[in-house]
Amino acid sequence: MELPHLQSLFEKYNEQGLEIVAVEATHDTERATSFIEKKGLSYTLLEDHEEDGVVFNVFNVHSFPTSYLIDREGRVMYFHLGFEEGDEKEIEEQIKTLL
Amino acid sequence: MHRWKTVFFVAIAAALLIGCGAQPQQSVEDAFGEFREAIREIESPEEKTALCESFLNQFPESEHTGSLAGAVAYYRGEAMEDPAGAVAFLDGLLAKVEDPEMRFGVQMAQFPLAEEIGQAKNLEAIVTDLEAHRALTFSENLEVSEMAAGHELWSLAEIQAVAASTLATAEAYRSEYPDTELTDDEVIAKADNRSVMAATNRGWALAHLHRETEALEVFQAAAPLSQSNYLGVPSTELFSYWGRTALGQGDAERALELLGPTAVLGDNDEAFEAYREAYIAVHEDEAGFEDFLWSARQDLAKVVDDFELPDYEGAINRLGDTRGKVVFLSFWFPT
Repeated sequence: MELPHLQSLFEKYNEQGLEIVAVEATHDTERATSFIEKKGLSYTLLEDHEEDGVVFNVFNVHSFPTSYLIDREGRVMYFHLGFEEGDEKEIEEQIKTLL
Repeated sequence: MHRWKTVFFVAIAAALLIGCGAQPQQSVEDAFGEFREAIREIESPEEKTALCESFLNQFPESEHTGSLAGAVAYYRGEAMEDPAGAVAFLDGLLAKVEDPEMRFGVQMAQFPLAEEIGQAKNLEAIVTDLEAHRALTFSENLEVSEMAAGHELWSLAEIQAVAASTLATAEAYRSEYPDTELTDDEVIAKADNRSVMAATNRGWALAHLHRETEALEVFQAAAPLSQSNYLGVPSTELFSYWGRTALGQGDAERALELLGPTAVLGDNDEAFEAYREAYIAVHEDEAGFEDFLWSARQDLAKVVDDFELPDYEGAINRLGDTRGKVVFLSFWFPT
């Protein structure tokens, strides 16, 4: 699960200008919020209520997790599909190249 | 609140049982519902393994047999690093399962672990057993093809990819899902997607069978049907395999072109390594690769679409407000 790893990256790099935005579109608010509380996540956590909303319609995401890394000019410079333990190192390397 | 509801539920269930004098024999679906709730609450692979195995011991033959066998293979075989234990458990399960479809699911879950501990099973025989009962579906052909490729059984991988490609039609999709509510265009898109997946596997198998020319033809023929993700990166390995095959054939320029988006924007390590190799082959030196990569990335990167969404307190957040920051944007799914 990538979200707890993102919390450590957020704490480490937030001062240097890293923001983390996690969007969830399961319509299962209870499960999502209980997970967020249990893991103590403090970055931006958003919910996509629409059946045909941002996640599916704009980003065409159909497998989870899918992540995009955006530079200071708003350009998407990298994407990461799925998550296995250890991937956080690769993600951290990619973030460091943009900070 | 939650606890109270559980207690209430148990009380009703008990009352019903006493009232009817029923046997405390649980239906598969009730048991599976409880199993699903329980497995969400626990984290350790040991506990997850125990839950899956206990369900399979109680209900060896159900529609969940294949997926739970897969869960045992994952939690015991990989997470607990006990492949031998997982293979033995699944052998025990197979002794109890007669349904050919369920046996197929269990055997496919078991195959890579058995291979890992040097007790290789016969993948072809697993296929033949199911074929004696019915023809494989597209997904099954593709799954076997990928499994075969993963274990370098390239002939079988190719045969199964060809079988998959014959089912990559709108007619085949409709006959598999007669009740589908998809429109004709959507069914055609599904069929096209199937063609790309089958061609991807077939071409890669052909490349390993030293039939590279055929492989390149297969990749090229399917390429116009290939779909891309939000960033314009191909959704399948087709271009990655195509580029690597071209590189193997000495066409490094073409390889750079084909591998570009996948290697530069994505997290595909094999495509990235091939891209680096192709760069070295073209420039006869690795010098300048980092700059080349950075400029390729800037050429390919697109500006992210802006959006507004609420947080869990209902406050609206706009992505555009983070401009000037580096943003890691993740789409997730609570498990």
